[in-house]
Amino acid sequence: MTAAAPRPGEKLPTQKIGPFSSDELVRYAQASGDSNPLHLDAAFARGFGFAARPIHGMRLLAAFEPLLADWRPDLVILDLRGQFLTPVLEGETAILSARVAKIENEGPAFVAVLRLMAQTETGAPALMGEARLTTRPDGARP
Amino acid sequence: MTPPVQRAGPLRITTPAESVRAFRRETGWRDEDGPPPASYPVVFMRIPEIGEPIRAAAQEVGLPVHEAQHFEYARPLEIGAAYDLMLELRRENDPARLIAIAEVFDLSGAFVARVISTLRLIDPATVARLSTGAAP
Repeated sequence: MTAAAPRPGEKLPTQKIGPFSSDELVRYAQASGDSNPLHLDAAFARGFGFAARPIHGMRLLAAFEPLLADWRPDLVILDLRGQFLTPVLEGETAILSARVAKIENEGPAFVAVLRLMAQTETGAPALMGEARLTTRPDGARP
Repeated sequence: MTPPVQRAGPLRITTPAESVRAFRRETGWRDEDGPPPASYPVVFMRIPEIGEPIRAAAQEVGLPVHEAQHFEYARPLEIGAAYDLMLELRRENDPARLIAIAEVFDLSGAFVARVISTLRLIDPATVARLSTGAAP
């Protein structure tokens, strides 16, 4: 059975993530290997002008993957990119949203291009990105 | 002063099941058991041969702040597999940036993925502007 392409303009359900605790920052640093003291040392972060430790930008970009997999488990990521903008700080939440911008290669081997956005709890853009997804050859779930 | 372009590799990298589970757990997946996510290659930066040149180049200016990230796949990574990684580091000035381009190949030499990490290098003298600037 051939997977149907999503419709341009289709919006994925928004998702709230966080608030991010100190423990979560530490655990992400351990899992990713990104031990930049900006994320782990509150005094260091304050010294660089932050009111609290900022969460890793990659934590935000990575959070889109389960969102995309929940939406269309039959698709696989070809391309994922993000630009990190306003920091999300320890104790804050972020809202993830995504929509289908266009479909390339109409047919069974379509590529869905999605615009990604994460916002801080005050509505400032924390991340703007893009994902390109195509059909999984074996149709298996990630 | 590090040269504007540095290269390293091939560097052997792997995707151990426990490392993949930990990464999935900490990035919001409900199911820890599954293949490496597309964003998993950030983990490779912990390998000294990859991470140390980045840290050394960054330290010449100051604090590395993650500005942008890009993952491009010919096919997904597999769990419990070994790959070879070729690394290129490029320095840019005005503003100071370090761009790490990693290309991942399977052990037959077939291209699997390209990972591009863009780091702004922040001079500590300019830190007052950080709180409204790029996220790390």
